[in-house]
Amino acid sequence: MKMNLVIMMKNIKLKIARVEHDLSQAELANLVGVSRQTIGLIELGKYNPTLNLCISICHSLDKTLDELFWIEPE
Amino acid sequence: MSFYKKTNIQDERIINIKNKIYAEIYILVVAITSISFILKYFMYDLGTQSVATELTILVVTSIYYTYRSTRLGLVSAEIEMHDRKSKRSQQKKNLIASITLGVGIAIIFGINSAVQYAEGLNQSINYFLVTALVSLLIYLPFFIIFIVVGNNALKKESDKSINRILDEDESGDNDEKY
Repeated sequence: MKMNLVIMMKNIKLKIARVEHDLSQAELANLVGVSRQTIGLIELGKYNPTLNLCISICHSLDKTLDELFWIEPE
Repeated sequence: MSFYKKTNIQDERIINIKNKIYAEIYILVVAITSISFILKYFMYDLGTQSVATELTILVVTSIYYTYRSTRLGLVSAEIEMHDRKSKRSQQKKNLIASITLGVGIAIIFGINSAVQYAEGLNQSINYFLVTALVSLLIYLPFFIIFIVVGNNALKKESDKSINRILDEDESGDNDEKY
């Protein structure tokens, strides 16, 4: 149950990193090569991205996986 | 530390492979159903009643896919990805496809009418022109409404759905994964 809660958590770090780069969801989606909806759903914690997609997002935002996707174990 | 450490992590490799197999099964079902339809209807000439099951399978699965992909916002996402990569927008392509289909069917019906029923060159040309024109007047609006207007309506509905999903915050959240 805990894991489900973790997966459903919003990804605030991603949203902050995107805003820091002055990018809209659509612009980030364009950089990564996915749809705007996919970025929106990842930020809301409603879509669990694959490692490849996480890495692409990190490369686009010049961040590491730790900085954007790491969650401390409870 | 207990012997049975429970985790809620599912083996996504197994899930992904299963989903891939299900997708392949769907293609297989459609292929077998289509072959059965063609054999029964066109080769053995068994009539419409004999292919009712095949038609039901093909139509219901298509409607279900359209419904689900619209409700989950997949239509909008696919159009967005297509328009980003392609020079021609999906809407333009739909318009070109519907005009091509309308004109194509009109020409085929025109030729069919001229070859089957006309006698002499003048009558052939006459039959071709009349049948092609009438077919064009019937099928062109039909394809434009069905393909262009239909796709626009689906996109609008899909946009609404995805915006609703993206707007759903902590309150009114549902458990469906996208």
